[in-house]
Amino acid sequence: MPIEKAERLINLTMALLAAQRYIKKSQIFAIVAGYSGNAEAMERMFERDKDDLRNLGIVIEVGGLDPLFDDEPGYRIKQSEYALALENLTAEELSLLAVAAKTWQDATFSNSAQSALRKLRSLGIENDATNYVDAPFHIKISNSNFALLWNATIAAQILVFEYPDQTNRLAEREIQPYGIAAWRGQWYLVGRDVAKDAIRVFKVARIALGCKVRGKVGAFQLPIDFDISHHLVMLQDRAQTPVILQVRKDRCHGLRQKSKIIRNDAEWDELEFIENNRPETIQEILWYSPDVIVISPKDLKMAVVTSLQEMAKNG
Amino acid sequence: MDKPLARTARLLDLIPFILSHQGITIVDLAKEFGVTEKEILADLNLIFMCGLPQYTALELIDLSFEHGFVTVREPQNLDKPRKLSSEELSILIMGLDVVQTQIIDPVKQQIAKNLQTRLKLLIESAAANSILYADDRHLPHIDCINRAMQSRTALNISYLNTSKDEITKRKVLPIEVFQQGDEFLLLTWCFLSKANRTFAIARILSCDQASDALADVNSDTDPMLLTPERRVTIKFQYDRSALSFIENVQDRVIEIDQTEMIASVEVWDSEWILRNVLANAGHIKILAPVQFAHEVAARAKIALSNY
Repeated sequence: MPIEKAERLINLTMALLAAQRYIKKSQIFAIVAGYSGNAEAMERMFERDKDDLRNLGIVIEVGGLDPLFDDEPGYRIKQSEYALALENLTAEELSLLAVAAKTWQDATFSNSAQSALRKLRSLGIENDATNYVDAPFHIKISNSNFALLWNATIAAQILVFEYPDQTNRLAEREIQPYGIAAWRGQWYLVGRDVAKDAIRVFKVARIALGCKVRGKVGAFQLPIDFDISHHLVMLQDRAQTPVILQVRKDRCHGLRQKSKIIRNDAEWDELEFIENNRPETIQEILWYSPDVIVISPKDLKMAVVTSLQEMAKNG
Repeated sequence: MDKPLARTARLLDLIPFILSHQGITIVDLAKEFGVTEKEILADLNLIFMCGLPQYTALELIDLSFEHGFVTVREPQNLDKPRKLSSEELSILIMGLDVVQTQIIDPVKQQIAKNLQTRLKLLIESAAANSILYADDRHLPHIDCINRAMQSRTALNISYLNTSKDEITKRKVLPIEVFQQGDEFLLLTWCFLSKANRTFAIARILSCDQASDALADVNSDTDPMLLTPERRVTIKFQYDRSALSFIENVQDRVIEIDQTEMIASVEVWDSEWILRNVLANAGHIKILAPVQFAHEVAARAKIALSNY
């Protein structure tokens, strides 16, 4: 009775793991249970099996039995390449990794997170449940391109997608993805635009659905000095500016949360806070209009007044 | 991954997992691997047939699973878990970034950082250094919320409603904390609304574990529940500077022409959309309804009169 493919793959893995030296294909066919049929059929079966095991991340080494005389390659799996090598992992570190994995619950990578966690728990280390109990929060990603973008970045595979240009029309871009980053919950892909031969940053939410990979894994080399944080302007230090506002009594609660009251009268409170993101500050002040007046700085006051004039005109 | 391959992966992972959880029940094993008990039994029967060449009793994997408890007696050379894949490693590395954004204790911070360095050495691709999760916002009350979730106790919160610019007090049973888009959200059972409600954590101003029993449901009713439907459709033109706003309201967009940059959104709370239009002043122009455009302009004029 022919045996199941999964059984043959397990037997092959075990035989290659047990091999002290490279074993030839003919030996594999002779000793590993599951290979049957004529030579060509077994040959095809073995080629598929090698691909399958590699898809599981198992590294099959190919080498000569005798570097001088033998022309037929042999195969083996090194235990050091197969097994999870996180020696001396402490219980506390294991708990921390469990928490890190749990951040991906309900997200695109929940299966991989669970599988990683299971492998870690198979190391036979007791969890230190007292230190870290649960992830501080779970990340939810609904973008259907996301897993593809992530895996292409890890595998150094070229991406092709449509992205809005300056006129907001979708244009095709061919990108070597160098990195993927999240800043305040927004995801960004950083990569080399092949046509422009320059590094560009793409907001993942703006990449049109139907993103594809092109070519092979390992298609390009990441520059040695590449550091994703250098390409994200929001991570650079920004100027800190004191802001003084007048806000109506019992209004503008959001602004009050980050400010201290420096003066007040019957109708208004004067608040002060330090801002380091001008566009966000302008938006927040406009949100609370007309219950807020900018006192200083002058350029912030001008920006708010100009925006309000624009809005008043459009009515 | 095709079915036989996924099964092979599961079989390879089953053996070291059982070894470190000797005597585990078939029910728990099935739950752990996300398959049925029947599938786990079939897996165990198959593992029983696998082994090293020669395939005598001495070379076969030996395990017992009678009476519903599973034990591996001889794993042969499959006693160690497989190494982590690049995807698994990369998500753990980023997961540690996430955890570090919320750890205050510097000793724990350092442990997380060192662990991350060790994982980066394991990832075969140079991309280990090109994934990053950064956030400078520490979540207020997160420890209190997590403690309440673990002990399944309710929380008394005061919550800032930015649309109405008012603070309300609510009693909620926390269910899950998650990040979606740029907001950290808390999914709860709200005793006031008598329904599931989601709150932005940044707008929870105070938070205490409720001392009274969960069954003691607040008899107040959320005024929102008494309000008839106030669904409003707003049509507007936007420019590139308002793209973030469009992305944030994606769920509410009912029609969009990305070339002409015209969108229609359906909202329940006209005050919320009105404030958003004001906040994006100069980048969003209301096309319909006209009275809504007038309302925005009127508010802008009042604001201008303050200067």
